[in-house]
Amino acid sequence: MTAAQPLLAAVDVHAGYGQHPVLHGVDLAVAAGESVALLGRNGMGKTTTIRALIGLTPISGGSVQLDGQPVTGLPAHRIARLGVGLVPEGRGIFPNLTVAEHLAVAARSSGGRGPAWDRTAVLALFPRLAERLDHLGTQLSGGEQQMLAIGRALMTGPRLLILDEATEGLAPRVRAEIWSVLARIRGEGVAILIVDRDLPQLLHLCDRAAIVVKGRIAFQGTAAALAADRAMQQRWLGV
Amino acid sequence: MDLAGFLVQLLNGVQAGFLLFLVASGLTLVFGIIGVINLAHGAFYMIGAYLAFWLTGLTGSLLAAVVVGVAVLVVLGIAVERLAIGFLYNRDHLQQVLLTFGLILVLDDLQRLIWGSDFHSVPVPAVLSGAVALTQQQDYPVYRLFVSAVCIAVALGLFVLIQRTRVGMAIRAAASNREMAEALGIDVGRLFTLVFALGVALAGFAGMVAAPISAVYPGMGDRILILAFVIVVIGGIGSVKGAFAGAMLVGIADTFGRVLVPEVASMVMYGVMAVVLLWRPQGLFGRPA
Repeated sequence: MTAAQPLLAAVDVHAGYGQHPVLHGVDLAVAAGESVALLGRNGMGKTTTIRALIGLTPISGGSVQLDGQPVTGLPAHRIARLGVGLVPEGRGIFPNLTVAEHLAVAARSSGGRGPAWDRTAVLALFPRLAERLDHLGTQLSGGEQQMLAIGRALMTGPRLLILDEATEGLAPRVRAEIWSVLARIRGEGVAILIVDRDLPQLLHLCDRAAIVVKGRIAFQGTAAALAADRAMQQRWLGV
Repeated sequence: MDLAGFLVQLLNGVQAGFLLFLVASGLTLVFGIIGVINLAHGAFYMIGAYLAFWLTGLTGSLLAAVVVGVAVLVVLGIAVERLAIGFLYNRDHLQQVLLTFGLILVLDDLQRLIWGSDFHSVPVPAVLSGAVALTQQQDYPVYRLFVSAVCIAVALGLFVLIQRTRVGMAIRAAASNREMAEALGIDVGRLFTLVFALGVALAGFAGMVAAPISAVYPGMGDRILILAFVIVVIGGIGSVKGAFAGAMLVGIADTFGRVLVPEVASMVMYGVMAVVLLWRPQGLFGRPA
């Protein structure tokens, strides 16, 4: 990918929690419409990278730009409104809101600048949710919660969709459904930054991959290059 | 007690309950959503009553006083949240209690500086000064019925705001998972300022409509604050539904306590609280801890 200006560009990002630095200079770029897999073993800083990019964890050094505009230090809600949708680890479903309310509260009438998804489009993507509109978040199965988390993020009209542990803890059939939906979302031109354990599926979905090792990016390249390099997979991912 | 007397006391109890609900709902909202224990809530009730007294004197109309007063209270609430409460999020409850207790002292002194230490009364508006006949011997003041009606309207308005509007959805979302709400583009800081100002306005509004019934005097918020806390604990902390049930229980128990067992009247509501907590430690509508 050789876009003149990447949609998301993180340069030498440092971040951590209190006295515990986790990221020691992360460089990451996602071009418009591109899909990037964020890989790495547990505890290497994948989730912290995501949190730092979207403003949930304060950045202590380095910079983040969105479409050329500096967003370093901006509060999470401002970054979200610039067109970044999040599907967090653990799904982040609100127990006290119904499915319909999840979609309504996320909807951005002024537009998140990405492809426009409205309720009808989201429900067409996940017909299961259409049957559960009045159910509270706590009344959904894990798979339904993940569909709702993705649908909710789409309602914000993202140019970049970030998913942390996209299919964790889901039944194989639900996982397959999520992967096929992600491919459709990608087809709509939404850029994707995704964390998951299923390497074959990730390499199938994504254009490029980045591997986080101890708070730095140890590899960044095409998915095909990573797929071909068993030694690197073995070394950084233990697969 | 004959039937008519019983009816009057029941009406008094229900009306007191409605008024207490206005105060307690603000307290429980601020605690349930923002997570701040606001000891100064009663002081805002008092400020509301003084505003009603002062503005009614200036304008000659309680309605005008309420309209202007609510605007003043919202501005006051926003200012207090921006300058003080906003620093308390995610902090220890002890620090919240200290700061909001300090706010009581500040607001009490402010009240003394502006309005002095005298007792005042606020006249019942002429249109509402009549009485309706309950039975041939018993009348009931129209203003008290009016207060109940206003409280019902506000309670319904609150319900619609929180359960049916997009702002209400955002408030509920932010209360259950602040970070996720932020990640959806919701400015939670601004939302919390709004919720706090709403709580202040509710307390102050209750003080304003109560002013013609009770007197207006220094420290009048203290007793209300304790009652409101008892109600919130009975109803379940953070539950508006619980605040309503608790307010009705306390309003009715307190009213009948004063008539039936005047010697121990001030203990009755605590008895009610003790019984409820023995039965449901998390309160009537509270979620188990």
